[in-house]
Amino acid sequence: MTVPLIGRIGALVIATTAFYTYVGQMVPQKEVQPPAEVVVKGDLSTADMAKIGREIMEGKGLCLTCHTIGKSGALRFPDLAGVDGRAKSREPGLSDIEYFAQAMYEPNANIVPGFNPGMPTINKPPIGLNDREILCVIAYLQSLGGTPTVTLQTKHQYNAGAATPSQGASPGGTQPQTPLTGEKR
Amino acid sequence: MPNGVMNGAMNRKMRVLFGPIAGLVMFAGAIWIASTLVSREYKEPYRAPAAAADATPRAQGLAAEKADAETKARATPYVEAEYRRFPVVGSRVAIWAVAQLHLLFAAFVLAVPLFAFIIEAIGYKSGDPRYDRLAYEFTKLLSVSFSLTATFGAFLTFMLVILYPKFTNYLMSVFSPTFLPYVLLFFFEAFFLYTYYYGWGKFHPLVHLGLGLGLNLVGTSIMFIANAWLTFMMSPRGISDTGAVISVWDAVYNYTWMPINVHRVIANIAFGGSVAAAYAAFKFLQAETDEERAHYDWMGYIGNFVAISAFLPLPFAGYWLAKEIYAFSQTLGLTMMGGAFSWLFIIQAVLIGNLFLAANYYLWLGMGRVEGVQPLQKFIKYLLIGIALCFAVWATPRSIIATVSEVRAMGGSSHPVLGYLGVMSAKNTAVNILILTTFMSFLLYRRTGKIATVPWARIGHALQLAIFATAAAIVIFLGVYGYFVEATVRIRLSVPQVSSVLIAMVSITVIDIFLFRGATRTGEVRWGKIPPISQYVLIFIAVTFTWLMGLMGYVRSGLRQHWHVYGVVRDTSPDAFTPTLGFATKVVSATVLMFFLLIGVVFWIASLHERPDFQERKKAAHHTGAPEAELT
Repeated sequence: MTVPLIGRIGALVIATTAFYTYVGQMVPQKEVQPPAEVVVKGDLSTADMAKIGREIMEGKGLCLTCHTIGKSGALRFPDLAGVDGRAKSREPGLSDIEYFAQAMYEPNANIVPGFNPGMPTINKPPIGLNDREILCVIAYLQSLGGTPTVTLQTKHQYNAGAATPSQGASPGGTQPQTPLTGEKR
Repeated sequence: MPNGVMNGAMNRKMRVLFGPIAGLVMFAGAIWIASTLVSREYKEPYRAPAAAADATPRAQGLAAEKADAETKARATPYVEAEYRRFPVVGSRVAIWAVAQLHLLFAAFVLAVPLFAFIIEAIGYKSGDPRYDRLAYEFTKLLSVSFSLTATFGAFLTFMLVILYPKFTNYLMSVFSPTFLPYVLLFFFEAFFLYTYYYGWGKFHPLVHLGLGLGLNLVGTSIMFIANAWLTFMMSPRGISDTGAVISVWDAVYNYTWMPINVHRVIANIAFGGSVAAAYAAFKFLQAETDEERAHYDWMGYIGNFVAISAFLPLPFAGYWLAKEIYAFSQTLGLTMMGGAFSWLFIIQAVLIGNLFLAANYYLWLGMGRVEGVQPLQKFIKYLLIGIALCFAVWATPRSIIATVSEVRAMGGSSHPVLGYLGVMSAKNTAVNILILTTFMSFLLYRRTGKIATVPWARIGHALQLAIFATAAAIVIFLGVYGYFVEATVRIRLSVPQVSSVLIAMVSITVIDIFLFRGATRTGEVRWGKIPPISQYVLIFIAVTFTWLMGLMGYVRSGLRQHWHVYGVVRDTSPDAFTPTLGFATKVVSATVLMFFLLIGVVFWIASLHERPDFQERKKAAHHTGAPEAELT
């Protein structure tokens, strides 16, 4: 029995699309939900803030889409392992908190040598973290190579506070603002 | 004066007299109808008196329910809907399928006139009527496709207004100044298309070519306007942080507008060429005479040539688009290449690898049409090895799906050796060599059955080989070098890689044209003498192209994730999540199957041209004694 031409062509079209559909099933299947809103209560401890900061970095903040923690080699964006140690001394006149805040509110103010600019402004869409969420992220970043000291009451130059000196973190500090000359990220 | 002339003059006078009288009567009639309608008093439609109506408890209950519902409806304040739900498949999939079908037909309708115009121009210049016939054959497919494109366009607009009213309203508020020009251009498109098609052979060839040019210019302009809307959704510009319009021109000329314009023009040509080649393949397989087979073999060859010629520079347009996406937002770029969509590019590699393999296979089969092919056939196995290797490298993922024990054994999710092939340095190198190899196949095909006779033939061949080898060496060197430099340097290496391949292709082609001018033929091209499997390869290429367009359309649109307009208008509908790639491929397959079903109808309608008239067939059936029932 000879299969009519239209049947042969139809079978070829169906087989080809079926093959590509099959290839589509072979790759990892991940459904990406819109980032869940994280509730940051006003009475959180610094340790809790660091935990929430980690959650934000993995989810709504999209930080770990680009940054890595504990990877070396030819990276496109700076690795964050031990970042607090570097943040304290990277920019003369800026504390680690001010440094992290500048990296998120004004990411292109300074770029880490060897990397291209590319970090979005974190308090604006599409990421759009609020001031409290950013403080939580700072708490987590401080925990990478340091001890978190930031609280939800901490003021920095981007949340109506002023720049704090680089000698250790000073939550709630109201030091005079330092000119933005440091390297970022 | 003869009677006939007198009667004619009388008739003319009567017509002159009756014309204004008829006009006056019609005008008076219109006034009378209008005044009657206006003066007529409104009357309630007749209803049976309450006493005569059914007054059973059931009827009373129903009346009470109706009154209650009406009271509730009146008490409910009007609230503008943000979203509406499409039954069964949901709003997102419904819009996705309709948009995809609209885009596929639009791509076809925009692409076919481009190469029909070029083929017609070649025919006019060379005086070879075969080209004119070929261009007309391609154009025959346009008329029905144009109607389907417009139908799906209207369908898409209604679906957007119904299912996503708030977002559609926002887009309209930004782009309203572009709508009138769009509609106007659509009228011009219809004018040019139908005069180009129905006016075939009715005008001076240059006038007809002018119509073709007009059709292409208007069609491309329409696409550019529509591209502004969709690229704005991905890389918005010209608006404030809250979404208020600052500059419509900036909204149009956003980061990705021009790269998408260029990418789509090229991709449309590749897609249109492949679908037209599939039509030719279908007709070839249906053909009953050698003459028909020869014609459709040639048509298929030209369609495939157009498709592959446009396909070769397409990755470069893709690079530009990706670069602009990164320039607009690194987050968006990384979502595409390193985030949720990174595995999609492995599927893309499979598709493009298949396209390259199939295109080369068709060319190699085509060499059999030409006498004296044997000296060149020995190179095919090397080309095949090159293509297979590049395909394998391109389809190697960076991280491998593995069990916990396998990950432990590998020391991470990347394979200790193969992991090096999963990065962009290796993939850029593979795709550039793949393009060079396919280009080499084209060259071999071009020179099959020919011997260069120019005095500098030996130097010409050597020069071509040297250019090819140099381009390949540059691509491979930069690919390896990319492993040893920082990201800032590595990203820029793709530019010299791409440039060296482009320069090689252009310069080798130019040399080839002069090299084989006045060449001696060792054998004739026997059109139609090609194995039937080659025609199935053409259909496979068309399906793969269509599927690839569907997949890449998904990534372009899906990249926005939970945003209608990235960073400005958030998607808060139940469909705001990004589905799995497996689900996405199922939707793509469904739309591809629907497209081929509809394009089959287009092919059938286009072929009605060649069908003998019903009365003629009836007569022929009468002569041969066939039953009339066969005359459908």
